[in-house]
Amino acid sequence: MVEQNDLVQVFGLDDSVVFADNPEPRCACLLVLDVSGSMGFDMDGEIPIQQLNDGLRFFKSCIEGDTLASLRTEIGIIAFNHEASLIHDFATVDRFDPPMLEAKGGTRISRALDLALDVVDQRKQTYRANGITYYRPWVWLICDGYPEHDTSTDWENAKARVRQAENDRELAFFAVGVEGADLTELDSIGSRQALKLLGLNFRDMFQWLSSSMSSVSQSQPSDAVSLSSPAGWAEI
Amino acid sequence: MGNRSGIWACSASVAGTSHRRRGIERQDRAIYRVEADFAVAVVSDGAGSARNSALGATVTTTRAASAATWLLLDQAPSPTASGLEGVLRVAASCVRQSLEELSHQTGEPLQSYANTMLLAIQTDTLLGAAQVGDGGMVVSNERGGFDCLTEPQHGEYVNQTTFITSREGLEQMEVKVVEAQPKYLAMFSDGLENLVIEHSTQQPFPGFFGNVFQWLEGQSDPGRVEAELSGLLRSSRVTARSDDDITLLLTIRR
Repeated sequence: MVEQNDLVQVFGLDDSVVFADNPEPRCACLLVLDVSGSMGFDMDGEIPIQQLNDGLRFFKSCIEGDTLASLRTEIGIIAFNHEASLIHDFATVDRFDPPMLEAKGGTRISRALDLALDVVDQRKQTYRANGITYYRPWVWLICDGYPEHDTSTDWENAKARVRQAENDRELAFFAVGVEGADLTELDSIGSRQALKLLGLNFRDMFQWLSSSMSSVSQSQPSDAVSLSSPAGWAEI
Repeated sequence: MGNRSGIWACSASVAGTSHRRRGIERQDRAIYRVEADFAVAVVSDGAGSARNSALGATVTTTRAASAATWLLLDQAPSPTASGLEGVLRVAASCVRQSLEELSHQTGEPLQSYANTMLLAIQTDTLLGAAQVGDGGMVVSNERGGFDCLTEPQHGEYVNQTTFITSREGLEQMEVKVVEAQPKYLAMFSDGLENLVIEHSTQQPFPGFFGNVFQWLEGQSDPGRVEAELSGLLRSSRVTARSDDDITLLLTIRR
């Protein structure tokens, strides 16, 4: 978990102040990013983790280009290998500081999924406590491996939790596999088909995610938000 | 427009910036009738993705206003509280029935006409309100402040609500009748909600309503009032916070 920063408290940037300053409805977008050792392997002269880091900065600039999405989209990041932690708490883009991720360790997806469901639930509670209305949160998993260090019980339990959360409309879950990922395993997590990233085209993927966040965060009651095709960054 | 009770009403409804960008027509509607002994006001917000919702909102406003007016004329000069509650419920049923008939005649799904309904009736002694869906109604109180008469109906998510075409639309309708003659009444679609309601407390922002009614007190030309209200709703201070259709209907007792 993110440590409580004293300086943030001193400057009065705790949640209640942020929400009073910007009472717009929120759309939480939680990125669950694989930082296992294999993300640092050379792929035809490119390193996945470097492309992902570059993509995160590009994502910030894309959201910044839309005034209302800037006020309404909150980005959070969970980084996981065999461990999982919330390395960037939910923040609107003006306070989103893309981290520099480093690749190391193994892969334990269930721990990341459990943490993702917990932090999304906590964020909703924070919204409610501060009188902030919100859209259905998105959880966006990016992974290049398979449940290497997950026990089969943990893996099945985590998948069941995600499926239940989706059935209860608590969140929308998406999985993206980077080269080397076990797509069949990723596919088995949520209700949507897992997408295979074309090469290391994280930039186009984040541009798509940004424009989808714009659509969702500006949708009106009963809108069936239509998302554009991911062709261009995913194999479909 | 005024009546014997001194009630005076005006409204403005503008297309949201997102609607204009996407080439979608305005789907909000507002209508009011001021009769000798009572006033009826209706606001409806057509659902963004429902293809016939603008027509649905027109049916809701016109049908609710006409049904309520005839029912009230039948109970003139002043209905009882239970009589007024009956008027609100029958008017809502008439709306639902008209939309069902329209759906049947055109072969279009009932949900394609999805819209919300805010209906307010003021008599010499009573204030009645019925609400299906989001948007809100705010009235002045005796302490010089403002209260929410009804609450916006949202699901867990801000882009979820109930429509009069929903299966349980009429069952979930909030109906309220109180003995009150508020000096000011404001009705607004959900496009204005975030700007005028504090969601944590469900309280209206007094600054907004205080200022707008103070301004209205000094006005006498209905055409000019509605043009200036439209200008307010189209101003960058409003559109920076809301890209949805916005409707505001105001009544005052003079």
